[in-house]
Amino acid sequence: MKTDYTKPISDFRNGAFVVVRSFGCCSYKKRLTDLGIGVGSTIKVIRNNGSGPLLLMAKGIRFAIGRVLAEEIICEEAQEQ
Amino acid sequence: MNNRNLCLDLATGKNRIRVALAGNPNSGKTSIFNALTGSTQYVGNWPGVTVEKKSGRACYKGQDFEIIDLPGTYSLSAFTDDEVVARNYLVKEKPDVVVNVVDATALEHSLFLTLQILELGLPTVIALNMSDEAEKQNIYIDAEKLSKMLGIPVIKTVGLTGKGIIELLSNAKDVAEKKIKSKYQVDYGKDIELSTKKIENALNKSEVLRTGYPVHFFAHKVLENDAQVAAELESIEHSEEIHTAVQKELAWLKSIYGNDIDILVADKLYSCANGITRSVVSRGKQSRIHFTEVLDSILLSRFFGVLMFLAVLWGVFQMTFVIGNPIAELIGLGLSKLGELVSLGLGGIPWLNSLIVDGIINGVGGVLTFFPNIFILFVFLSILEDSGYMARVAFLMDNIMSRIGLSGKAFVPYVISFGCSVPAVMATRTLESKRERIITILTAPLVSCSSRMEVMVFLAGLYFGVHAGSVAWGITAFGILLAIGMAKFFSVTLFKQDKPTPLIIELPPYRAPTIRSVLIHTWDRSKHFIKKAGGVILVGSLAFWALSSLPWGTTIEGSFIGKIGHSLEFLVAPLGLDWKAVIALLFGFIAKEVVISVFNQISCTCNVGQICDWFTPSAAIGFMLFLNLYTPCLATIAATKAEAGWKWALFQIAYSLMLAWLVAFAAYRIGGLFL
Repeated sequence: MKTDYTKPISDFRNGAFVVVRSFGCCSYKKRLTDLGIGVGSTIKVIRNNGSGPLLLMAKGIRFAIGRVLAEEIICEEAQEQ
Repeated sequence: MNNRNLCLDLATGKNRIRVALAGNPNSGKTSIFNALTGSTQYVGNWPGVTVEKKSGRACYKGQDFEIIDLPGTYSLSAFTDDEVVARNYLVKEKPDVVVNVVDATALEHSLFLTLQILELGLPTVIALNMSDEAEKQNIYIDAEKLSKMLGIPVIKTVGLTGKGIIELLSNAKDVAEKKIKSKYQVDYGKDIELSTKKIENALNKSEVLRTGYPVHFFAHKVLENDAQVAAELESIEHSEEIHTAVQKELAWLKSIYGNDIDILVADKLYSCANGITRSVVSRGKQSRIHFTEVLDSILLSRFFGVLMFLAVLWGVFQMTFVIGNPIAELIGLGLSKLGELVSLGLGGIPWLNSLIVDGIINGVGGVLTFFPNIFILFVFLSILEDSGYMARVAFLMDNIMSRIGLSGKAFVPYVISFGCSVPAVMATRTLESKRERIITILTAPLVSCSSRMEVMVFLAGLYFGVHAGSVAWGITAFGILLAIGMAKFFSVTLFKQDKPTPLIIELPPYRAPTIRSVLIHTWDRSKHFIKKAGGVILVGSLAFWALSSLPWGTTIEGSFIGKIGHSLEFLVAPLGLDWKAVIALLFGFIAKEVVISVFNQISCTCNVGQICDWFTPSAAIGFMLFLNLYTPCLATIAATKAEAGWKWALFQIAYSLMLAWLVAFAAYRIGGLFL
């Protein structure tokens, strides 16, 4: 039932706290997991300009992630931060 | 303290302890390395890859240490070149002790790598770095408890001030001598451990140990389908038995957990890291809004951010020329005085005089007068990098760059190319994929460097009078457009199978760069530049000196180079050019600024009239376009060879020559209709 609320992380606004639920792509799954952006991790969307890369905070580290890749990170809004 | 870096009496290296520094990028690893090694650093390359290898020496109580700085990585999964290098060093070379630099402000993130290092079973010490910064953010870490949990020493350090460095060395010595290894076991869950055990039993242990990997770790990586370990397995084992055992275990695990065992393993590692973090970190009140957040909210905004970037760029180039040009002029003046002095002494032996003054002093001068600008550019680049701003540039430019099939990181070399193509090519080594590196190396030099701009201004001034500025500007702008176009072209032709690399880059907190680290970076780069550019330009200048002054006593037209020019004239005739242009282009191959002196020399020794009468205006535009686009210079080709190999260096020469010819031809024909 939760799947109704999931969408790509690129669709969340600035300041949103989200939980990664799944990946649309495969080749960068492991890489992102290594960076702390794995399924189940809580991520803060620091900056989403609407185009261009996203700035995310994962486990205390800021990462810029290209939009094409960000569209493959499927998330839902976190219940609490 | 002065003798901390060198133990002279132990220079034989017999009792030297080899220390590998490992840690995340931006964990302050470099500052720890600088604090440990001081001025004894040596920069080279790891064999086979263009990843920088830094090593140095340290001394503590008569004990000699060799410090090897491994590339900063987030993981040891061997995805990127950096990770492969770091892991291979740890596994194959087995340092006496690993110093794992951990970022105290992001402990959980750092521990992910730490736990992987501990699995390799090497003696390890943890440097809990930036502990002062963590405390400022109200993050308190119980180092003693962490040390107890992991079973290895944990030393609080501050790399920038050198705090804790002595203690780190003494612990590293202790750990190396007593071979203190962590007993910590990551809990991967019953199923994975069971499968690992079974594979471990099926493996030929002595064969595995010969690869350098611990058997348990090896078995683990087999399950993760790790490419490097899979290759090792191929090379050591061919028995059916092991293959069926692996397939069976994999099938079983996949039936429970789905396809991605490697991700499952990473998740387990992170949950362990999370568990440790929870039990050793106590957080005070969340401090007020972070300085970095505020600055980023301005510098990364869509319009203002780009505007700020352009301003920074303008400032850097302005400063480079304002500070650099007077120094360059001074050096030029000094060199011509030196030349005069030599002529006074050697005037009697014309050929020797000419060799030293026109050949050597001119050749070395070509590098030296250019160097102040490059050096100052390097200083600013180091400041931008150390402060964390360069990563923001990648963020800002990713949107635009992704349209031509590159990521935002690739933008930096293009910017540097305005100053000089050599450091631009060198800067491509930070790019992740080979595809991105090659495309950038091939196209970044199309952006006019400062020495080409100098030639443009000279020629435009001769041919176009009041319109000189616009013409030079137009040709430079055309070069930029062509760089963009060619990058797109290469990414859809040469590299159409490879997918563009998405941008993945850490934006570290902004930090005030320290003078010490800026100087170290600048010095590293300058040394590289001088080595690469200096030798090539000197040898090239000497060769051309010989070609243009022999047979002794003739004019340039009668010299070897003049004959070569005449015999190759047919190549440029369709462009409305003649042998004089051929000579200029041949000389320009060494370094573009030489073209100016070539033109001056031809015009005063050959009695062939004013330079501005040589070509028609449309041919002159074609000639300038040609100069701007063809083979950047010998030093750039040398850099390309170093970064990408001979094949691409030759390709760069060939493609840029063809491109330049076609563009010049088009300009001459089309221009001829109007001018």
